[in-house]
Amino acid sequence: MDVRFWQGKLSVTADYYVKKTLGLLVAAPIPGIVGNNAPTVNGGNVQNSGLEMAFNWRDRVGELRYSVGTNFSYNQNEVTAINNAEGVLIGAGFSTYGTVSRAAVGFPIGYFWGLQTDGLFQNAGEVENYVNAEGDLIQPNAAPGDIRFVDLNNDGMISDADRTIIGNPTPDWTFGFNASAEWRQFDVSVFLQGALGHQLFNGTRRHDLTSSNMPVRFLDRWTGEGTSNDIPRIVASDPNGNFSSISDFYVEDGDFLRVKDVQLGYNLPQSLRQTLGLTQARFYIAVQNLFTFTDYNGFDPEIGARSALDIGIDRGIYPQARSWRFGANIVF
Amino acid sequence: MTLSIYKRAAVVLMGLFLFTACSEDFLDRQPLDQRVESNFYQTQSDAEEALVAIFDVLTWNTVIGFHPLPMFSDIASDDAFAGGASRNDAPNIIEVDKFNIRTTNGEVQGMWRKYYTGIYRANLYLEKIQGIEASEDFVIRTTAEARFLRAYWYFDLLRVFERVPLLTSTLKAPSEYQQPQAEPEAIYNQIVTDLIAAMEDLPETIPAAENGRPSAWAARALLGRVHLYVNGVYGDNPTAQDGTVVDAAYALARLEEVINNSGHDLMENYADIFARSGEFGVESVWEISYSDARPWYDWGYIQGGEGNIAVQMQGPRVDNPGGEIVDRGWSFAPATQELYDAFEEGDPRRGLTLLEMDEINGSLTIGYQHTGYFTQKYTTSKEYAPADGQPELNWGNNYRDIRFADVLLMAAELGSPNAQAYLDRVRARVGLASVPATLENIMQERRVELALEGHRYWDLLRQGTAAAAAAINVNGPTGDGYQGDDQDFQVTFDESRRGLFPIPQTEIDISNGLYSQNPGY
Repeated sequence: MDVRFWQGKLSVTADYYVKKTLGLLVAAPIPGIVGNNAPTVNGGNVQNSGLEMAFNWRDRVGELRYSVGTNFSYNQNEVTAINNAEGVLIGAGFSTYGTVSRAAVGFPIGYFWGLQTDGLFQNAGEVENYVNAEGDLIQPNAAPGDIRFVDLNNDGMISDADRTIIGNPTPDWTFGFNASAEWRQFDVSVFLQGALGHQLFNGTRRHDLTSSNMPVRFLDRWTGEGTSNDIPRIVASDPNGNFSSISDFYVEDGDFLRVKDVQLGYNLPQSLRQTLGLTQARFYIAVQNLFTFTDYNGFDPEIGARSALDIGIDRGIYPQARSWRFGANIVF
Repeated sequence: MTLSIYKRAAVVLMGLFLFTACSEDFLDRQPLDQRVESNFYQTQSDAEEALVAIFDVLTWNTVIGFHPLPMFSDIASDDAFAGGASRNDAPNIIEVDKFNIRTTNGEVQGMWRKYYTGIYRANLYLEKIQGIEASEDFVIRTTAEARFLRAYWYFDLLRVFERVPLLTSTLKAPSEYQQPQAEPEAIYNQIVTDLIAAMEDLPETIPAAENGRPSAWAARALLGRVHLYVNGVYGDNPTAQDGTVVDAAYALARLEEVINNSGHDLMENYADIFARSGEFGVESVWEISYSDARPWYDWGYIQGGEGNIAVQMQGPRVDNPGGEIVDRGWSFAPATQELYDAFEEGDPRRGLTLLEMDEINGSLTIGYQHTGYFTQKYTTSKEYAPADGQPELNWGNNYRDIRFADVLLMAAELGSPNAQAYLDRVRARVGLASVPATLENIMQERRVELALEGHRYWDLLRQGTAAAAAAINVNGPTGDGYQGDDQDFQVTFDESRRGLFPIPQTEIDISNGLYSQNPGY
């Protein structure tokens, strides 16, 4: 739907869509005995449905010409069929800890699959009280300061059978905002973009090495009862699998708003241009990635996808640089 | 409407004509710019490339993680620990040392994938070679080579995993992907079937330009090794498809042929065996070639290069390589005090096998399970320093897999009438006096002569799991040079697992429960 109001000062575009992708192309895992790389196959069907809207306003007030616009889209992604007997496609992994992402019917594609956590054991009593119906410890290797994993299927132990969806890397909302204005010889433009409602897998740290650096927030780890309920104690051998288990410990909200581009320009007045014999002369200063608003702890929340089954897994991508540019456009 | 009805009809008719012209040839095209399986195997030079692709897999030790099998088997044995920079440097390798291998161990899955890639390529070659325009000699020799390599890899699969799917042809469609595990008997029978066929067709001499390709003698020697392992572990003799029973007499006869007719001999000087000048020397019956001639830089795909990563892994972690006889390695597979003590006093092989702390001039970063001993055989010695490329990825040290000394000792073990002379030959080379050729003395000689060459673990397993446990179990530091916690040096062999590695969990998952896990896991 496209509509315009007030002699085109306001334009509105809205689209509702349901996109069905049949025969999604994926490299599905094959047995090692085949001895060759997995072929790309029609792995399943995916449905994306959502709404895209854009508003643009442009007008003139005296010598000021300006326009503002915004666009946003809401998307829901769901796998509707998987072409194998298991109904599951195994996706990308992290470190040597195993699979992180997978695709299954009824879930968003490439969802994070792992253990749910329920805080940290604060004292020895909490470890000893975390028992199954037979009275056996559910996490026999745990000590105070370790992560309490949820025994989702109530079989009295923590295993792969307790893994569930712990995150969805595909944003619900993506949006952009732009504004520009010209006044006499000056012009200015701003562009912001962001995404909401998705999670990222923060795999930026080598927890398998004892000597690797950790971010500052690990100074606030558990060091005694009541000191932390989310960053576990740090010991060399990790007997409880705090780090070697794929769990929602690694999963963080990926919401962000980024000031992507800001530009300020100045055009030489016509009188001066004529004196200098120039058709056009504009000087500008521009900055990309000026600022990012996010609670995500990795380097950069814009992780992107390596494949349909490897979305939003942050293995320490190189962050986008903030770049300043100064320039001149001169036409003789 | 500017188009007349006739013109429109003509357009429709042309369209119909084009549709009918779509024959199958049109739809089913061969790519013009790439070589694919269906247009590749045409000429002898195509076959040579395919052959190289099979041999290439011999040097793959990084399919997932780092998993050179000779080093892994020494780590599992009583001759070495896992090592590495710290307890968390390579947990998967420490699991191999401590016999608590998780079924999800990446390195173990890497080995599985390696061997089946090699076997797939050998099987594909054997299927395609008949349709290739090539000389008869070429076809006969390379067929034998593909079968030798297939047998070589199935022998590793048998020893590491035991019950694995036995494939002698490629799997052509997903409907064929579900293949059951074979019993060990079927696997070792196939191994000797391939080796006997290969032995008959492989050449007796390998020109220097073709070094790295197997000879008929390599096939004979490997038959001896297979017999000893199968007989020791299963109390059985492998039987080839043609009915040939590879019993002790048969294996011994093949080994005697190597000793008497092959032209192979002991190198005069034990130290020369592992020197660069000793590569493909007279003592090498079967040697796997690595090289720094094709400089490699890609850490993400190490096996694309031709370097021997085991060398980088086993080198000591020296801080200032400039003043040392070795370059900086990663300190894996530190040797045990038990190995040091296994050498009798005055045996020069102790010093030539073990690199000791007094050979390190400057400082050393002490790694996990530090014992004070490293291998001297496959190490980052300066004479092998890669000429070019990323240094860690380009070590050219060849792996001397079957040495003439091994052949002599196997023949002695199998009761050769010359057993005493063979044992004496091995000992005399290093200036040691004769000892009686008893089984015990021969096994002891194997340990010290072939130490840290990847044979000890299998020699232990074929003496039975109780003997293996007795040798391997250790309850803390046993040498003055050990550094670390007591528990770092505690190893308990799990007899219920019989020394086998687990079938990779991923493979079990993908098999949909068709594969069963090895007992004890």
